[in-house]
Amino acid sequence: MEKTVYDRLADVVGSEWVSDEPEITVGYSRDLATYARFGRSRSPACIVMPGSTSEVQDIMNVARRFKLPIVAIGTALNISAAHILHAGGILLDFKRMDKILEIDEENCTATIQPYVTLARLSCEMQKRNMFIPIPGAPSTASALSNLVVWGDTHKVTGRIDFQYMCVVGVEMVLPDGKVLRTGSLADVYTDESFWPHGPGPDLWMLQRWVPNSYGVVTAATVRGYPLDAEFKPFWVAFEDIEDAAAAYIEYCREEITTGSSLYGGFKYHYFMDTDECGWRAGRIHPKFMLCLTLQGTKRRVEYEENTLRRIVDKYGGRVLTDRLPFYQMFVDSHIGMAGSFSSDLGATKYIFCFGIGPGFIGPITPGNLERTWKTYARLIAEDPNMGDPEEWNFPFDIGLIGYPCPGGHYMMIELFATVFPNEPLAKKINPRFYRKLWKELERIGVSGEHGRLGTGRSSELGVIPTYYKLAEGFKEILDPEGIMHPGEWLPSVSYKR
Amino acid sequence: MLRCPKCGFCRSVLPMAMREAKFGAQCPSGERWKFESYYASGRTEVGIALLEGRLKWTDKLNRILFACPTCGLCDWWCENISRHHPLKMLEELRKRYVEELGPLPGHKRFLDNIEERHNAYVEPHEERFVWMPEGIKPPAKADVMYFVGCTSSYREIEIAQATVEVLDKLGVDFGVMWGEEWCCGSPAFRTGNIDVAKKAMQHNLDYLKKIGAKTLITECPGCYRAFKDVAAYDLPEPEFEILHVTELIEDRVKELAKDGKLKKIEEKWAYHDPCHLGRHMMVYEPPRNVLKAIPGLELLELPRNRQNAWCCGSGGGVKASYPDFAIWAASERLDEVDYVGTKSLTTPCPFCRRNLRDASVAGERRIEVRDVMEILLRAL
Repeated sequence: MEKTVYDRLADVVGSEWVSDEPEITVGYSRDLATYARFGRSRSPACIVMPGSTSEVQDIMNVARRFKLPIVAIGTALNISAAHILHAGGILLDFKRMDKILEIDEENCTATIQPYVTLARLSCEMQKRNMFIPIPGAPSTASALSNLVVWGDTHKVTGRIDFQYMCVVGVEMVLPDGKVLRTGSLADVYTDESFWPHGPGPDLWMLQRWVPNSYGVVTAATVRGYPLDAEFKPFWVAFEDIEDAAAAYIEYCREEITTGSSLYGGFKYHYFMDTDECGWRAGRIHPKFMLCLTLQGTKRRVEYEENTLRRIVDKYGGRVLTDRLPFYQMFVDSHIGMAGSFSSDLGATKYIFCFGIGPGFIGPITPGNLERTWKTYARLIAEDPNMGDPEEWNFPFDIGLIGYPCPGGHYMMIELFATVFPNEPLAKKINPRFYRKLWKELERIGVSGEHGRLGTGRSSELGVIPTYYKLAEGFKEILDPEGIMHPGEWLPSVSYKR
Repeated sequence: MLRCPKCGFCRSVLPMAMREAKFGAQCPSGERWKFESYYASGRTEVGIALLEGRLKWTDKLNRILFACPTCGLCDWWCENISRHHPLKMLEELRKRYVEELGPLPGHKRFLDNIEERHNAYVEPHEERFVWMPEGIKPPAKADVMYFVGCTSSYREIEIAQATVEVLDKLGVDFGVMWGEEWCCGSPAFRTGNIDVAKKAMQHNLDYLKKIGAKTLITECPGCYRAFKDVAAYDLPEPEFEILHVTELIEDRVKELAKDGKLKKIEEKWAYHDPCHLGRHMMVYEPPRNVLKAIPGLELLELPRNRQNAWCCGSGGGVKASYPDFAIWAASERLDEVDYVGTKSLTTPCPFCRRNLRDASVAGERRIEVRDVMEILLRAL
């Protein structure tokens, strides 16, 4: 990096918090996307750690002055190469901005900086008898990044709504160095008021799906929910996908539970002490499981339990347990997101224990669940490598996670094969398998869009292009120099260096 | 190494065990310097780049590779999550670094001493047992042998004294190695100087084999782990049992407590888990049980405890090469002691005790740091 630029950055944050040494920059060269599927590994030219919003403003001015690409990371845990710059540039690392600035118990909100993890925020909220709807990310992920930028993975259902709805204010530094505040954070007139998405026009969803494209978010206010007096997590098992899917659809339509997820395949690893236990449990237990959390008043929980048990009986399922400990009952069975786990070690069995192999993440209609699973299972079985038990040495080769959107009109699903993606066999299989999978899923009416992991690309979807067109317009206005993560997310906006 | 999915658990307390957001972080080196290369996941990238030749072996790697107290939190998580072993990787990278560039200056000092004087401090070998209390004269050969270790022999002698007095009062027939006790090699193992470490350890193993020891007890968790882990360094598996002193005496202390033969100590002591004993060797309860047996003593758990314990910061060669960082890490731990509302901290490790006490003095914290054996001795 040019000495002039380096010195300017060091002047802003202090020399301790800036580095262009390759030994340091290489630490930022990969993310989960690289691990999961994409081979690209690239170091930024320079890492800068701001300690405040005003420092971010100054850094942005330096980047604009020298027309340097700039990108920010929260906790560096993302699945979409969101912080891997195409070439050189400045990477903003927010580890110094790690404070919970305020918890407003009266209005159930917390104002946080980018490096506050979901676990830390959740911990403080629970101490005050509140909880936050945690998105589909592990507890080590940045709460701000996940809620502001994504927040759409529907791990909570029914009465709570999408996670991104809990974002009630955002503070963002724009490429010209100005600060944009939205929602409650923009209401400068009345300190005491709480006006989630006022005073409008509200741009709180500006950053969704296009991280690092318009500016850098330096703080957000998120809304929590009061903890209910009663809660009861259930695990319900079914032998086949038909019954599990039918029961699941009924639960969605009844709008019971605050958290519900459907698991299939290697799910037992989530709550067993050892791999061996997991394999054995998988052999003797039913293949599909619903994790359902009831909460509310005593009367409400009683009502939901009756409904739940009626549906279990109707579809021939059985309740595995209704005696799980409380952790974060609004989302079930993911470490850091929930963890109704029976042991600490079991809690460590997150999806990364197998990695994300050839699979799919995206929305489907619940009615398509059964066909989607069967299509996936058939393709795995027909694959010359994965279908060969000698070569594909995993006792549970495929897994399924599904969670409904509010109202149950559609749901997000994740289909996984158990393999470490960087292993040679996976590299051989993936390109071939993905092509086949996309084609087959589209044939049954399923496409998907979830960052880079969806099967459908923006051009193949009906609604998304409109969104992207709007987003490109915002990009032209807010980042005319194209310094924010050039070449990513909004690829049709050229980098005008 | 390619299995690191960047999940970030290597830097976090188990979420379910998190009681305070401010004590939710892990990884002392990462928290101190904050750049990714100081966390296990970033170090993995450094390691990959070194192996692929994208990075050169230069002294710029010093701090990244050696300013880590090898507390093992990252390894504990990664083993369970992605079957990746960042600590093993780090120790291998340290070994390669030493082969390429030689030991760090701060480490060379104790390495030379281990070779010349058989201890990690600049002390004469013949003075290793000058601390032995009058009236206690353990034999050089016994079924149960107490391996004292360098820190207790030369720097924290009150711990060695308390340990032999406790063993004596509990009626344990034990011996010590006297002039045949050499450094266990732990500091050399941890800093990539494997040849020096193996030579020292081999001497100890040979002597213990020669006298036919049946049980080896240590008070120092560093020595404990070094003896337990010899097979990992292609040394012969010891034929004797290896126990931490609290594992040996736990039941006897409980019996004494049951019979009302322990004196009352009405004090509040917070407990610090040494990494070498806890996360690395999974010995969490015996020291606690010894303390809990003392009537009147209230044992306080720090917010980060057991497998989530925050390291004192002195291990892995850090105290010798990065003393300021070691004090910083210990100060972070002392914040937890303040948080639980006491000024008394106990640990069953001379090295932890030394660093935590240094931090207490440096920060004028007025926190008393004592070994578990010292407290137990008062109750006997």
